[in-house]
Amino acid sequence: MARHLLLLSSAALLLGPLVWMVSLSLKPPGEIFRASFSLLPEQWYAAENYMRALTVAPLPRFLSNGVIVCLTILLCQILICAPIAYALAKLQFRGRDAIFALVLVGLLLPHQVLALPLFVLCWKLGILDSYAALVLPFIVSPFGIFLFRQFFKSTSDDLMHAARLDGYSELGIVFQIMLPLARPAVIAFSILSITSHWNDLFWPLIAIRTEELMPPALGVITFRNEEAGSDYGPLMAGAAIILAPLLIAFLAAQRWFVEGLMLGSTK
Amino acid sequence: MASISLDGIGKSFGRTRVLKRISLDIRDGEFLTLVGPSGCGKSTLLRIIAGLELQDEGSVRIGDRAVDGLPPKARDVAMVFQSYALYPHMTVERNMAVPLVMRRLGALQRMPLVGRLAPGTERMRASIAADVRKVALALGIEPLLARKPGQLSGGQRQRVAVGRAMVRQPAVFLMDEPLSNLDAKLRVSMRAEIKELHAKLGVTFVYVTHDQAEAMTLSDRVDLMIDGELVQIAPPQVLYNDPDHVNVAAFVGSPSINLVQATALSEWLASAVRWAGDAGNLDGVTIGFRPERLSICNEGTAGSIAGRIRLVEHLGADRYVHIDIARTERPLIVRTHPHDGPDLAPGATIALQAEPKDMLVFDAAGRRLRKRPCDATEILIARSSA
Repeated sequence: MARHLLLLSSAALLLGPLVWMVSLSLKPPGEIFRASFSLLPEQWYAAENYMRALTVAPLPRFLSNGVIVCLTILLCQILICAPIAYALAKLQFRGRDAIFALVLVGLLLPHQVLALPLFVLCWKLGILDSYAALVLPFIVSPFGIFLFRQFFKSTSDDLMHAARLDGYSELGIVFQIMLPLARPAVIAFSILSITSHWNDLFWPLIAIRTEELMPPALGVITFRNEEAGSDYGPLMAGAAIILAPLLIAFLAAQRWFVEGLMLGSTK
Repeated sequence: MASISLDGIGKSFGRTRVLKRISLDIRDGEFLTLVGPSGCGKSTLLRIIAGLELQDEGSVRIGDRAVDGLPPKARDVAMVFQSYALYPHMTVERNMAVPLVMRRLGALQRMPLVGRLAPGTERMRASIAADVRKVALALGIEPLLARKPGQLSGGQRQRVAVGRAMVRQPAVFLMDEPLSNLDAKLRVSMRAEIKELHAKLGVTFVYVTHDQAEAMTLSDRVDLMIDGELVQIAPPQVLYNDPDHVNVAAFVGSPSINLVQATALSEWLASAVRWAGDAGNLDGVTIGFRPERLSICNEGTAGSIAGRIRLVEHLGADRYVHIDIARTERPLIVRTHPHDGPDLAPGATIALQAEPKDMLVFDAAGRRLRKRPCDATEILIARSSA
């Protein structure tokens, strides 16, 4: 019982701002700054707030930018991480353990540390202020390599041997045998990857200036500055709108997500 | 159809030498079993034949070509694994079709959607499906084609694994302990099926097992490996009746052979058997008696050795009697017919007899001494025929 209380109160702590955001997005401007507290608005203003959020700023544009960038990043990450993870898990070669150690170091580095060199790199490549600048820094994910490696390691060598005898190439084994088997890990990784890049503000702030290319989080910031001013109702409505796709995706994939992160814990 | 020839195969993992210069010729169409205790290197040898491991030295020939540089898929071998290694995310039908798809269709034709448009793909897919169905019918797994491996029992998975190996008609079948994950009853029936399969297909089988019953019942020849070396390679009957080494004698046979230090039997050997060798030179010499070659007789029978019954095991058709004799550590096991001989009860004193020709004699290093102890009759027969 005590444990449940603890869980409930910590969940409330995390959910509080979210509920507050949704609540504000339903209220007219006058109610937002009222001293008294109420979760539900006296006068429903949802339609107006959400309408303004969708029409005044190019919110749909930000959302579609987010979809394009996040999916491209995810696709590249899987295409690159899976073969690396397979090599680290199943092949014998000199320096394998050293390379894996480097991957672990990469896992520890916060992205912010790399921001400046990455900025210079993107500038030299001439891709600043483009989709490429949003995608390129993230296409190799140490976490993805690590997660896939742990999963591939748990599959039997016989499976790989059978595939070789059947005529699969090494890349064929990765993408047609290993990856389909690693579905829970792929789903867990996809959710983590999409969430972090959908919500990323730091790097887009550095790499992007043009409004048409802005991903959702950055878009909402400009929305506040230029359009809304202190008009928090539509701002909160915008925030709620960019959060919704993530929430829906997570709820839909929750089962696999937990399964993916529990991998190896019972063996 | 192919013979296999191994020449001086050596393999080490780190500092451990798992295979010590193994040379072996397997005839076309032969059923050869590699048998030995776990860790003796038999599975490694099989994987070297398949090309899944590379040997450190020596060469492998399959048919009339050296295959050392060839990847597994180019060697024309199929393998059945202990864990079956079925692809869990594919149906039985797709599992069995994989070897054919990978061989008959080009890279473009294998691609999803696009492949359908390539010329001839539909026809190829249809012929592959027909081949898979034919093998599935032969193995009695046709109703399972739409299922996934996770929905099958152990025996059914085993059949699917055999089917996947059969479907592309390889020259050589390699089997790595294919029955060891099945329960005892199923293992016996699958054993018979594998024997029939070999007779029907007529191709070369190399079969790895640690189960000597499988080795004895299935094989044309058995190759016993211990610690990375071939100890003896012979037909099962020869391995059982005429072993070259004490380890062979000890490994083959159930219940296992009774091994007794000759010094413990010196008096008996001198009086009853008329030991032909130097009676003083019994140090280190071991004598082996197969359980069914010992017989129980009444106490005081001429040429017998006295003992006391420790335990009697009834197995229906057989009865195993454990008998303690003087100066030995472990009891001797005698296999008798339940209705044979006197009534036996633990604690009773009885006597044991053995024919000199049934004794297997090994020197201190474990090598077989062919010059057996002989008795007067044998000498007489030898003289009269001379």
